[in-house]
Amino acid sequence: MNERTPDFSELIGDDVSAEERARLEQMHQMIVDSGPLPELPLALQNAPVVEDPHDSSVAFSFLPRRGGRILTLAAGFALLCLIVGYVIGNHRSGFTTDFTVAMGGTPAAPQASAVLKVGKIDSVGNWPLELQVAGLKQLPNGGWYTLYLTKNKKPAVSCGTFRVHEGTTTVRMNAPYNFRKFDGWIVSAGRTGPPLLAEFRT
Amino acid sequence: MELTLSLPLPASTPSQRVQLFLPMTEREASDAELIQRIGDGDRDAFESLYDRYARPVYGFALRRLRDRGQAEDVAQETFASVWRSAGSYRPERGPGAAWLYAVARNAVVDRIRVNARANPSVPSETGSEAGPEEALQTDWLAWRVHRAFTELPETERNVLELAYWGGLSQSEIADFLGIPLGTVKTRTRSGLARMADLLEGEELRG
Repeated sequence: MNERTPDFSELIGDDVSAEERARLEQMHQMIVDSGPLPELPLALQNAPVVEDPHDSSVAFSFLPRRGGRILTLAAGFALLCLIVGYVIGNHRSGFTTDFTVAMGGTPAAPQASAVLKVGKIDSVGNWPLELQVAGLKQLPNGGWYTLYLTKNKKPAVSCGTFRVHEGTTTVRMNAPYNFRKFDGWIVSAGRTGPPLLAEFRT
Repeated sequence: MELTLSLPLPASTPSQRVQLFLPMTEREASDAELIQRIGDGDRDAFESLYDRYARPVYGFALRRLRDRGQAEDVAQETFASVWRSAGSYRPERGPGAAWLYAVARNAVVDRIRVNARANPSVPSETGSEAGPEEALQTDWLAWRVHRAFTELPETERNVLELAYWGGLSQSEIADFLGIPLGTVKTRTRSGLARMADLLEGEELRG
């Protein structure tokens, strides 16, 4: 987050009535006074699963709490690295596509396109992914893009991050998620960036 | 859980602009309707309310506690309380946003008390140098502003987020998003106007 306060006149310009200008300036000051709205941490990105409306003792199932969560994530990540490394190292040319998702460029990146190949799910629930993407700009300062599964067409969970070079970039990722709980895929530069590539289930 | 509200509610009367704004939100239930449905055990309503308020609740907790981990815990506790106590909500006693704010505030206060018991040498009220009354006003303002922010169309929200909290100038936003500068200015202005409409109209919408 950046603490720089935007200049109101630059934001609004001159062609606004005095009454509307005063109203917008009041809104501008309220936003400044309110401070930033933080991004949600991983554990809060999805609504908790409510099990039984009549039994509050079992009503909630959030992600594991923080202490155990770090260990769980670290162990999960290590396992994921092993699995992905094994799969890539031993079956580099053996990616078996289960289904393919064609992603189109959004108005924010109309020239972009991508094909997402989803591989056969393994015995523990990992879906190997291979993303072929073209038409995205290289981001400055080593920035990266993120492939998200969406809920209500908004980023829900990350399937991985990647950088692009000119031409077509191919990267492999993994998604240990139940796809039925999501309604599409998007690629954006960070969670708050506009979708650049998207495909939603109808 | 019975909650008592004594919050400074918006003083302005709803304007005609609110009527212009309503069509965009008609397809969505009001906060009050969602809370009432949650009281009946409606999980979809709970998810909708969560989508609207997860960031404002987390932001409020982070503002008061200044600790991401504790803010995360408090946000979870807040929504657990919402699920358990939505049946106690009475729309005639105040809008849904104010009820949920009270739930979140109770969770924060509970956490501050626990912290004070665990660390008696640390001041019990954290997160603000302002006096209690001023802090209450600021928290309530931020709550309403952040709630309105989450209702903006994504195109407007992205531009405002980059302008206010991303530190980018209008030209830099245009470059970053790959859109004309005029579009950035239009979205900025319409986003601010929409937020002003929302705040002016929130009494109507409950």
